[in-house]
Amino acid sequence: MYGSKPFSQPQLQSQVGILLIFVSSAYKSLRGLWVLGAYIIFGKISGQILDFIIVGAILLAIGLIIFSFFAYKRFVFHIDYDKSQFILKQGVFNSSQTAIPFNRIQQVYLKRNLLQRLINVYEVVIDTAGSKGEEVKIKALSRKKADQLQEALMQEVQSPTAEDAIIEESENSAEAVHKQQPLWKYSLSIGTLIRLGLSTNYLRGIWVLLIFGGSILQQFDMNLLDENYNAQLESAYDTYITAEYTITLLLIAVPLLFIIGIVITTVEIFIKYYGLQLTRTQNDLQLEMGLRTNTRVTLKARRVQVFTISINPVQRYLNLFNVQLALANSAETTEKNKIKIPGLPAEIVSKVRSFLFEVPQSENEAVFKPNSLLFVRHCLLGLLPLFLGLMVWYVFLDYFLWNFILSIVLIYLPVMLLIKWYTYKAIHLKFSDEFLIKKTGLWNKKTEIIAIYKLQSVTVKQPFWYKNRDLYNLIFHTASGDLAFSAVKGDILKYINYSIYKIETSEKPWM
Amino acid sequence: MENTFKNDQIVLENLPSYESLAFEPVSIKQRIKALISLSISLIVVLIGLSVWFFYDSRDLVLYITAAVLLFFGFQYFLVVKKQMCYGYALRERDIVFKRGYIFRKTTVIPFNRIQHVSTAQGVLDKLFKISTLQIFTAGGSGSDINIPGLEPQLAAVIKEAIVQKVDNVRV
Repeated sequence: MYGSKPFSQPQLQSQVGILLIFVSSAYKSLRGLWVLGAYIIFGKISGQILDFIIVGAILLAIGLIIFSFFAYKRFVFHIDYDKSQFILKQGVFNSSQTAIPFNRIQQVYLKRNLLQRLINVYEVVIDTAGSKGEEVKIKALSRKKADQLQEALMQEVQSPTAEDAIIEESENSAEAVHKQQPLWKYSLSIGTLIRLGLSTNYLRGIWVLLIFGGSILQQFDMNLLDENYNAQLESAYDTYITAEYTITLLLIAVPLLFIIGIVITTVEIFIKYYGLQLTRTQNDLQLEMGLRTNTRVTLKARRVQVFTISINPVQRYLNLFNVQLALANSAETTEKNKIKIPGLPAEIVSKVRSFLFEVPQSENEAVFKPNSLLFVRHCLLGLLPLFLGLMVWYVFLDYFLWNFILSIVLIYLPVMLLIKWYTYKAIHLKFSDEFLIKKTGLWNKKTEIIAIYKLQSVTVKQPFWYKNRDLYNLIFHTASGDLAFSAVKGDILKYINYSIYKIETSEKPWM
Repeated sequence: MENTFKNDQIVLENLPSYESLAFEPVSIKQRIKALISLSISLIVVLIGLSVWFFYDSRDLVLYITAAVLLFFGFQYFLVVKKQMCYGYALRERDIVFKRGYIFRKTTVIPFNRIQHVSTAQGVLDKLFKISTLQIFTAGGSGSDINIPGLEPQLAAVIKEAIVQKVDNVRV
């Protein structure tokens, strides 16, 4: 009977997979040799050495082809329905066998990068919840097989315990027809995507640019600058670089940097979220997005531990909310387990929310704000750059321009204080009957929502200088990272007891 | 069947409070062990300093030695205080562990969120016949607890008790 079940027999990937293995291993070995490549292109190389290099390259290519063939042949996977495991054997030199029990499978999703798109295959990624955080990638499957595998595995994952199976079954029989029919669907149009890019934080784009430029400059420094060149440069500095020149340069460079930052951010957003589509079906939420790597994820509500909504005023005006779903992950938290979905209008956000948490928002709420001690602490931290700047000035420049420094301090202090004050005012923590909600952010407002029963544990901290003031720092541990809240009055402790009570009386599975 | 259904109002003030528990201290041997391991590192540092002074007898070395001694004096104070702050309490549905002198920390782990429990013994632990009880959750390293300085039998008993509770919750 098992013969009829999909993937019960050991199988290989699609044959074009060989090409994929070849390209990726070639890329890996060439990445280590890129300096050599640059040397060939830029440096002067005599004929004989070039011959050696060409022969070496051909040998490497032949070796890689043979390797790819064997790697393909030995990459065998199947589903063992008897033992409830997914089994993968692989390895050319050292063979290894990975067995993933169904109950440890978190997510099964499809992905394709540019190359996989070109040769028309899909990558199936099986994410697991192990303390090692291991995952399995099957890099080349046809669409049909990839879909089948995802479906077969997700079906098994959906019924991890007997109790669940019963519920699942009754649901299936009643709504088998409706199961795949979407309840609602949201697609991000290209216009919205561009507006989203323009309204996202450009600083990141500028930052990327600076890092990129910095690393290029460093390469040039190492390769091109000899002493002679340095001497030339110095004399050039002396002749051309005057104060006027610097100011003009700054006037041009700063706006230019800003514009490039905007462009980079927009392009990045465009590539990352192109064709974003969110579909709600009976049991799960499906997300598809990406231009370069097209990702398709099937989300189960109960795997989501932390739900984050963030928005800045411009985006609020455009009605484009950003949503982040953090999934359970027993290894240390990585960005990979946080799924970001940008550009959702308010109404879709509330639909996602009601998908995640069936319980509606309740009226009962207790709101906590941090003590003003936190504001003082933030201000002291805010003074740090000023002091460091002054120290650097004092050490490296001989003269102190008092007027200049005074005016900078007079601008910096009030601006810093205002920002810190309103940032501090924006922080609060809400306990409702079922949820824990933390709000932060002055410009980029962030709301983190956790269903209390999904907490793993709670830590209460008290530095000794908080004792007389009756203040505490709280850390709520979830399976996908911590939520911290600082300097709050002792009357919050009864809500800590309430949280523990909620966890301990909850019968619902947290993942 | 209907009459077993209860839906009492939850009054926050009446919920069991974790702060008012009677915490069990850890063994006195833990304190001795911590003092000895600190002394070992002090001896190593002092040997290093005296070798340095032997080859390079400047005043600077003496100042550094004084600073090191001051630092270690403070460390001795902290170690003693810190060992006194360890305390754990088992309740019906969770385990509470407090530690830390300058930063007092209390972690509550409900049994229905425990992934696994184990005991561990370091070299010095074996010498002093104590062991550490480790409790792991899915909440990452910040949410796991290690209770040091337990008599091995006691650690085993607590471990068994917790495992049983965890299994009870699961069933």
